Amino acid sequence: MLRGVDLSISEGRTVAIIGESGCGKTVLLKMIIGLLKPDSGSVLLHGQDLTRIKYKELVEIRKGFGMVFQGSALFDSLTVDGNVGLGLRRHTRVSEEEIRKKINWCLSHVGLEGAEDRYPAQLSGGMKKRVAFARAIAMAPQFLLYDEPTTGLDPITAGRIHQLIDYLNRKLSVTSIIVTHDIAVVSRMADRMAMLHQGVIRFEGTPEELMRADDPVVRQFVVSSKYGRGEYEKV
Amino acid sequence: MGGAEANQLKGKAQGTSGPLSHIAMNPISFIGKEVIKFSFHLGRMVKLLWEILKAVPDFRTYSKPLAKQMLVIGNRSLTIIFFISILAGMTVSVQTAYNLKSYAPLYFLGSTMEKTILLEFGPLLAAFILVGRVGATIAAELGTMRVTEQIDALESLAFNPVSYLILPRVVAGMIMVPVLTIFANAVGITAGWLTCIAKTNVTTHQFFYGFKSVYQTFDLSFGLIKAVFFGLTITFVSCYEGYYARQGAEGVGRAATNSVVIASIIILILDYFWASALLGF
Repeated sequence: MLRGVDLSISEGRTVAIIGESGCGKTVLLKMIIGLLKPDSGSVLLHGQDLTRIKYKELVEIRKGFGMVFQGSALFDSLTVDGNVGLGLRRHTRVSEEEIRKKINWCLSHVGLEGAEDRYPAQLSGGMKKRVAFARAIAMAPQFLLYDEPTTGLDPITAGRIHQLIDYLNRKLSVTSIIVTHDIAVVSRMADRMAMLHQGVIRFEGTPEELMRADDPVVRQFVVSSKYGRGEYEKV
Repeated sequence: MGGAEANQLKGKAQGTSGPLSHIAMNPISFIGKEVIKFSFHLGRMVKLLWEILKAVPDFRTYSKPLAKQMLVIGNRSLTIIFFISILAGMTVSVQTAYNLKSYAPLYFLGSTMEKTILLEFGPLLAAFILVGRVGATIAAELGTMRVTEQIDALESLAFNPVSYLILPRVVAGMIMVPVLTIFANAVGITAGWLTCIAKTNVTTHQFFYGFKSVYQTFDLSFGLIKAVFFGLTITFVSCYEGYYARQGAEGVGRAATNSVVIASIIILILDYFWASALLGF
């Protein structure tokens, strides 16, 4: 699926990866966090190749990551409290009171105070997404990965989620990688944009450079996103 | 009629369509593919088993889920094991009475019940109930977690899914199947004894005289050794099927079905293996 992706991401920046459905954006994101292993090549984090380290070392490195999955991926058998606090209870040795405070802090950031005892089945799609955000930030990660954070949500909830991403990026000063189709919104919050096409990075640059790109494939994607698929020829 | 459609009809008319015709036309290719598939699954199972062994020291991760799984397996199966063991004990006692009628003294009923229930019925019944009750549930649970990216989410939170999801289920199975086997033995023998009293001329004294005259601790431990391996088989196979489930709801359904079928076959093979190995035949 990926054929020679070459992408560098600076610390503290927000990078958006765009591209058609099925072009390998999620695969790339999962390779960055080590959930998938590339057939060849390397994933370097501070010079350390994540594809060649031991599993235990990879697990340690993952403590610095938070990931929001496309379908939220909340644990059905756990409450909101259990979902958000799972990593804290396992990886830290602080008291239960401290953990609860931290959970409340995370939930207040996503506007879900008081939802601790609810199960994922009792939440709407937007609420699930916000719990997934709270879970991702609970361990105070250095890197936040978002896989299609607004897919399947109504425009109002999607807008709130985008505001939330922007807020978290500014407030927590993390390095963020956002995989999305939504160029219009993401171009307002991303420092860099990368377009994945047929397994390679077809474009990399600032959002302004993306909008001015001459590459017909990039232009088609940008214009189609703006005016709807198939409208490029008319424009 | 299109060319492809015509060819399909022609194939059907000549009896050359469907999977059987594929095997008949190219048996070597079919066998080769099946051998590769089997080797792939065997290799992946051995790898998973190794991962489970490596996760044993990670007690902090699996201690809580282990307690929960033991409770789930026990709670989920106690009632059904109770009823099925009563029925099995009653049936065995009636059939044994029929077989022994006019050939052996009445106290033989107790002796035969002891051997039949402790050596075979208790462990096998418990195992088959748990295959359907627990095995399918585990496969469906883990399969759903896999296809909804919950296992990926767990890994992203720096958890080893083998320590958190698989090891507690396997260990719980290896502990709880023997416990439930002891329960099935007790209920089956009690039901058999009461049935014998009600339906035959045997007395309680005669029944337990026969029971005690052939009882050896080995009979109980033989059943429990089998139960440990049955527990391992049920939980490991269902964890394997669920953990590697693919393709959405269809994949989850397939994982649940496969776990029941494969675990049942392995249980019967193990049953024969341990009988041959430990009973000296």
